[in-house]
Amino acid sequence: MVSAPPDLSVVLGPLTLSNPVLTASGTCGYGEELLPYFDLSRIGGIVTKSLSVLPREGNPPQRLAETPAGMLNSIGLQNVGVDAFITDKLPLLAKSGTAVIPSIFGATTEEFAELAARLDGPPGVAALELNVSCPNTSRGGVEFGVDPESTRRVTEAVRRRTKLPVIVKLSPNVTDITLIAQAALDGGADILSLVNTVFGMKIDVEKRRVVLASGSGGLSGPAIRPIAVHLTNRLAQAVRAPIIGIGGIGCAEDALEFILAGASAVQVGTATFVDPCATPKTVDGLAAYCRRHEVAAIRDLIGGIRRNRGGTGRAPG
Amino acid sequence: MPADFTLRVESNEDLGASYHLLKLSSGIDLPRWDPGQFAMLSLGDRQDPLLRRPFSIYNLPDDSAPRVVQFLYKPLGRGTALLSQVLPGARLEALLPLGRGFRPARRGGDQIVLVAGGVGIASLHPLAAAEARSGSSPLLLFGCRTAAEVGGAAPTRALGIETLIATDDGTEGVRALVTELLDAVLVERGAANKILCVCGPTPMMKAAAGVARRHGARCHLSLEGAMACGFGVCVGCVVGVHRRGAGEIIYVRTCIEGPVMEASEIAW
Repeated sequence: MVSAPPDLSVVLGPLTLSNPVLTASGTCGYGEELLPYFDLSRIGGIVTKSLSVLPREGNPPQRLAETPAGMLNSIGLQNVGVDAFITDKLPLLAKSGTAVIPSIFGATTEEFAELAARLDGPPGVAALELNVSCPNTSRGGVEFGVDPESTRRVTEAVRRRTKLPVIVKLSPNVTDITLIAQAALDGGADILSLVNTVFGMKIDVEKRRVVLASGSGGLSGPAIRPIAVHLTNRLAQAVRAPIIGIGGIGCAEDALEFILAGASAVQVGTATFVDPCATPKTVDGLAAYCRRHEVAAIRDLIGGIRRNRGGTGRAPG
Repeated sequence: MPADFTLRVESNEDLGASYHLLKLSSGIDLPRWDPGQFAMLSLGDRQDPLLRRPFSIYNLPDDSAPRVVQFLYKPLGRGTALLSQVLPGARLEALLPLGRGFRPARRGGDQIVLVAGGVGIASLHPLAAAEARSGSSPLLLFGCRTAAEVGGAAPTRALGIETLIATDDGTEGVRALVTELLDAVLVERGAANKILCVCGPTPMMKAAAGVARRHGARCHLSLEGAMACGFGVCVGCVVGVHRRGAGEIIYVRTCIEGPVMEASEIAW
């Protein structure tokens, strides 16, 4: 008897994905650089490089530094701007057969609202992800994402201007991520994604200088995975909204940690830098895991951590 | 079109003075590459260090369907130190060929001048080989610290190319920076028919760009930038260029628009 292939589709409130593995913003451009390596329809979705109202040149180099099992970046949201995205990038992406989720970034609440309005209309946009958690800009970004009231206001402003599903991407650089998450939901967010990068710094002791031109940057890669799994688990216990887990995911086993912790989907980020096919390989790995464990549908695993004997299975603080 | 290949380590030799030559083979045909293009090499299946490393491809494609690719490197950092320990028979992932290599626009009578600082010879060697193969007579200027390191240029000199050496300590060739040697050569032989192709440490390339500007010589640099992906998505390896007129700098990706770029447009 041949068993049916596992059902990898997931439903995140108003957003349905063919499988739960997306690319993370800032690690896949606008999709075109990945075209030589795999068919985009194999992955659940693509979250684009964050778009701003006007093009941005980003931060001066040096923008990257490798760190233990990870890396720091301070790109500063270099991007083509929303107009060029809609004209030059979206038509190709819309035909790719994957869910297209523009990430948007504004220096002000009004800019976030304007971006939402511009992207509610062109065909092929599946949802919006609000980047209120970028650590590498002087205005906006994480300024919004570390304050519950600002998060609520930005989300509400976007909500009023779009019918698309709204994802709010959360920063780990806060005292209590559940407060920010609740504020986003109060503002009308449909889905929460977490985490953006963790503040970090590297110093060259021979030169006695910071390595990144901007001083600090955002830490990503396997080094932050346990932090992200913990926060995903904590958030899943605190809110009922669907969650997308992000942080150091490079294979199916990594993705499953987040799914078992309560995420309905995941994003593969830094791993794409190491292997352009990390995202589709993660999809294939999830299918293989489901077959190996006789799981009929991946959604059956969401939040499925088994309780430790004598333990609560709950995350501390 | 670049692709990711699993390659077998055929040899990984210490050539002396810390130069290493890595030879990899493929079981399937590789796409052809231009001199100056590069590969992102994995250091095996590990998460620390996490990222692949960019290396210029040292050899020319041997025929229309090449299966051998070589890299000249020095163990200077953690990644290259690990690479130097890789044994024959091991498998490495290689994303290649990446970036834009040397494609100098030629006029009749033009001469290519290769200006190499140390292991920067790695990206210039295939250009020298292509020039030699086509019957041209390039000139190599090779700079390094001391005579013991001149061996890094030996395979390039063996192509039968006129070579001038500059060492920091004067133990071989002239006691000068290679960019000072370049200046002297342009004074002596003229700059009008010269196309400079330069690779070395960033301060050396900046100095070479200055020499080229003063002489009005055409100059191409093979740049390096801190790079995570090598195929355009991390946007980390940018270099500032003047393109939109005076004063304004835009950032372009070294891995896509480079690594070989025109010296005159770099905003140092």
